[in-house]
Amino acid sequence: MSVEAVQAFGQKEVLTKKEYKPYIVRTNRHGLVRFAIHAGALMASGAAVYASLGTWWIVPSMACHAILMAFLFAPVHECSHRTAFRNRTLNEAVYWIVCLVYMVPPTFFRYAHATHHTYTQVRGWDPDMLPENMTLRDYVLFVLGTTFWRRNFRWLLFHPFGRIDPKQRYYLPDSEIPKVIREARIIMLIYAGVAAAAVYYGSWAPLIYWIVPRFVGEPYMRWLRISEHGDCEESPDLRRNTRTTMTNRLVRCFFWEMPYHAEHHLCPLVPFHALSRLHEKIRDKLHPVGDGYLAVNRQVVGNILSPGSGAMGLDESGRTAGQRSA
Amino acid sequence: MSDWLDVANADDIDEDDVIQVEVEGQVLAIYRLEDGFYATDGICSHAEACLADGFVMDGFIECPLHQGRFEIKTGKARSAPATEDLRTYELKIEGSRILVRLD
Ligand code: FES
Repeated sequence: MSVEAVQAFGQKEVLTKKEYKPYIVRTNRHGLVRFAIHAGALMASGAAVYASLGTWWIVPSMACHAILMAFLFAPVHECSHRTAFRNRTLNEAVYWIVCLVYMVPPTFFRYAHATHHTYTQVRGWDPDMLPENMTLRDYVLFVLGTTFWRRNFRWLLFHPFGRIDPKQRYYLPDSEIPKVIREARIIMLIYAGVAAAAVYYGSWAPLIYWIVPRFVGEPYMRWLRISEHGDCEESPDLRRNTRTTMTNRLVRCFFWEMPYHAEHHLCPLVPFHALSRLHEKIRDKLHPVGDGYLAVNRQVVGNILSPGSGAMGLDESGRTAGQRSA
Repeated sequence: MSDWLDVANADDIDEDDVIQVEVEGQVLAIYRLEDGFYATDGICSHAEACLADGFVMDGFIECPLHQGRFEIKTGKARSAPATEDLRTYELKIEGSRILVRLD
């Protein structure tokens, strides 16, 4: 298949360039405010974990802390597009920090994610594609984060030694390989330094406030993220292969507006804070739009259990019940 | 040295904007900045997006697909995932017409 045949498309079908332009304006203010809210919430949940150590309150406080940490995927993603902040140095500095905490290598993630944008929902090309004919076991393993961690550990453990999975080499231009390896080594050194300091001082802090919540929270992020493309059309048409999911303000806030996922794929130059405005403009052209994460996950599981049952809840025009009633 | 080729009308490009032209089988991007007109390859060197679908920002063209950036005047790739420079082309204005030379 030719590259053009599999490259994602759809932006021109929903928006002219003149209409697109006002949405791409980046600011530092929106990114700084959102980052401060996210970091502040993480500090508060970390303090709650500290205060509840040794009591049953550890369960809800750890759950909160873990979920907030999982939501760090959102600034990782936004900074990878360089749309979080107008100031590019600030963008890259925050990108490094959140990548370190979230445990992804910045440059490699940027290329892998770019490839996902180029070939969204094209099997064999899109690196984020869900398994073909997904079974319940695949779904559970995906949500538990096994696929995610297996891939990330490979990146983090093998790249410092120059071993890049041949199947992922096509993401990267040759000229970027030394940078990817150098970054992976720096990350490994930083993690080793944290581990050494923890052992030296006999501190459990990195484990309690970072590592454990990081693992505990990831299934929530996977559960949210399965709705982005799960059960969507397998074609390069971004209006149909990506799902926007309607949700509450709190999730939108900590997910940095990524529930407007179809808008993001169609117009990746638009910063997070303009996505809701863009949604208002183009929502009628998007199919499907999910009616909440629980509903979408139910639909995905429903389709696994009885394939072709129409569990996606779409009518002939590809609209969900929520869209029809909107 | 190749001939000058008539590619577009200068008035068809707004300031800080870009259009795509095809000339002798080659896709070019023609830009209008505050201080004049410029021409580069029209297809992004990273993953083949049409640069004329991108936006001109502070003298750079930002690719519509992955936000790679190129300096318009030099064609230099300045921001990943774009790493390979674009070719730039000689350009002149005659009357209201834009002429470019391909080599
Ligand atoms: S296609 Fe232009 S930066 Fe990727």
